[in-house]
Amino acid sequence: MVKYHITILLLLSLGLMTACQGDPPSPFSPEEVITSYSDDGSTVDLMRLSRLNLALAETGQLADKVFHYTQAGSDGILVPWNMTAEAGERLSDAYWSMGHVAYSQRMAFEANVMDERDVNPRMVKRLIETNLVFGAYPVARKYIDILGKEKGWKKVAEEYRHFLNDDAAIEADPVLGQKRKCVPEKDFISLVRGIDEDLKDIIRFNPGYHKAIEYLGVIYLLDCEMDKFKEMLDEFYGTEALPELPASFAEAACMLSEIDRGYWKKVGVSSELFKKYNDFKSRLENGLTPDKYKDTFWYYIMRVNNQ
Amino acid sequence: MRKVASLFSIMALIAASCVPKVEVPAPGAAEAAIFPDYKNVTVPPNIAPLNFSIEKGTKGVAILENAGKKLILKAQKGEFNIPEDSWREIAIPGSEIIVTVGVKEGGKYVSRKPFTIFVSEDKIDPYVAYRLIDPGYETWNKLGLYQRCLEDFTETPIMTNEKTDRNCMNCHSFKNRDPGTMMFHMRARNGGTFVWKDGSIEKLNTKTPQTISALVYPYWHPSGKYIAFSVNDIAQFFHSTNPNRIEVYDYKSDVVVYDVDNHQVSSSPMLMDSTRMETFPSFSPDGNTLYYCSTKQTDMPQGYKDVRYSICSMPFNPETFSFGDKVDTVYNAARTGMDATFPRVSPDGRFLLFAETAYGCFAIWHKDAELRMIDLKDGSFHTLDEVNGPDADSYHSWSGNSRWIIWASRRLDGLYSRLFIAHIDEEGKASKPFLMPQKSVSHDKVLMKSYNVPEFISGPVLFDRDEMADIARNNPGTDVTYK
Repeated sequence: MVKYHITILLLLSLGLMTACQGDPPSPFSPEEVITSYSDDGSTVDLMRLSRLNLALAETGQLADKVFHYTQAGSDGILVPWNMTAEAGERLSDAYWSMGHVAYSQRMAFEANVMDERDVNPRMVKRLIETNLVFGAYPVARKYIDILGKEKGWKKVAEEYRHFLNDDAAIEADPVLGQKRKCVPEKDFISLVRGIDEDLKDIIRFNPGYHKAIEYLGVIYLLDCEMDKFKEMLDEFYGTEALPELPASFAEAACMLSEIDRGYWKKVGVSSELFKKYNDFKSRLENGLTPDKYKDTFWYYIMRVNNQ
Repeated sequence: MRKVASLFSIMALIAASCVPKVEVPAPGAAEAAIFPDYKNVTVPPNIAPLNFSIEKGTKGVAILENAGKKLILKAQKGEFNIPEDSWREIAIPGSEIIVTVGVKEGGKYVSRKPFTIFVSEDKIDPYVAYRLIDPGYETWNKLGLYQRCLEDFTETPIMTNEKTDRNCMNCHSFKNRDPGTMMFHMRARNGGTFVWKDGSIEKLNTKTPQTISALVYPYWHPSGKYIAFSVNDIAQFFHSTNPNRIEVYDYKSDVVVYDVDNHQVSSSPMLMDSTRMETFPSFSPDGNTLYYCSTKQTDMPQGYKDVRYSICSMPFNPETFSFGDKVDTVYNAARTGMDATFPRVSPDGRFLLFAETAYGCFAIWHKDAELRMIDLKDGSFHTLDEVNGPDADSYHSWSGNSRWIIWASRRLDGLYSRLFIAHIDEEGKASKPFLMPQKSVSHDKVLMKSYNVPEFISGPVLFDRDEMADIARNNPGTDVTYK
């Protein structure tokens, strides 16, 4: 009996110790976000959808699977900025994922300011990351100190300390190093020309960062900007940035063949996919439901046109 | 001799602290690593104690000596907190305080190279007013105007947005540092310009059909009868790579003067020239000259790097509320290739202080921004190398006796601006600046707000914040007209 009580006490104190040392409240992994996402095919919650799309991007599936889910234009990637902490967080995450470090930093700052808590630890972590990427070490140090004072975040904060004033360590880090490579040498005014032009600069500067071109193409497709999508393929297909087309891009390339005959062949679309596209079209022409193509860009654009 | 004295002091303290041994500071011994950097600074005799810290986790002692008086302090968690009454005893006007720091290394205290704090005979205005804001991009949440007693550490709100639906408030300005005659703006909800004068609060609606915006950057005429303002169509954008992060710019701007009693604004064709942008007005101490910044109208934002403001002046007649017809260029941007903003003349009329940067109208976001000064007596140019730091130095104001300047600098961490103070002597020579002292040394490191628009004041602002909030919410305000 005594032994039993001691065991419970030990377990309890172990639990308390763990809680005190604590890791930050762990967000769902991208895989969990994807598997737990429920899609009823009609209603869309932009905040939830943006989390899903972020998870798809972070797992390298955005341009392959974006149309497997009900979408709502590019607002499902970049939620409308309504000056709330939640929108700021979603936007900071999305810009970070696409390699737009400056705007990710901006939105992390806005989200932290708008948060009713004095500190939004996740966004302060993002401020640490973005400032490390930019080599703004004194203010990164400040944020490390501030995050370290937040319950459960000390360990996370301290993991960044060794990057201070160490460019080589940052460049060798798989996350920070990649993001630093996304910071274009030549400054541009963020978003004034549109996110697509900013993304193109990022892609040109770091063609190996494929998330950027996945976002660029998907944003064009979600907004049905076919001319711009084609310009993107014309510039980047066959380069390091886009050696082959992901599923949604290939589907869109089939549609581009309507105006540029044989275009699908130029960009390496398989004849099997092109046959499917023709099947989709003939179903529509014959008044048959094309539901078997529900997870394609063709179906998405049909729905948009019918709205 | 001084070193020997320091040694004895440390030994005395060590005896009390049961520490076994201390070493004599060797010639050329290591510099004390302290924060803030108060080594060899010049301070006013009425300033609050200059608390400072040594490296975190280090045990240390500090000995402050002046005129035979000695203050021995032991670091608490790395911080030396100087008792206010003891500080007053050693901060003797026109004297030097010698500070020796001893740091515990390998079980014994080792002295660092002593440093000096020069105590000037020139006092500083007892208060400074500022805004505490997130040094951010677009949003704000909790913000307010505050006042800090420089003689101690008391900070009190002048007005915060908790009472006014979390709106924005900015551009506080005082007539000759008089806390009883001031104004500031509220923006967005409950918006308006608020004038506190002769014990009453007035709300103004300042957009007129003839002006391009509501009133923006202010400066009181020394008589209290007028306030010069710019009117601006302001925008901002965000850089992708440039360490300056943000660019604030005007599409267009003009300068007007507001008649406080008659609720009218007026201007001159030369201050509303459609081929130029005029902004950041200020008056000379005698009230007979209006200074302002002017640049050619430029296509924005694409031309943002081409914007170079000159500092101009024109006569102003306060008796007739009229403007002269001759413009002088005090700082010619075409000649320097640089850009000058925020002209501020010392109350004695001798020096014109301003911020210089490569381009643009918002120096505080420019890492190269530095304070400069023109001697209006002989036209000589002072680069003020002594006061400028490695990051943005901007928004400055003069003490009433013209011997101190206070400004916002981002030099500590590159983003969060902090207040620095420097002594300027009669000939314009500046001393090494010091960070406005804080009760807790770590305050400036952890505070996630910037100090913005520091303005010296001779005492605290005493209007009733609830009354101000009530007027903001419920008073429709007086419409300003154009004369």
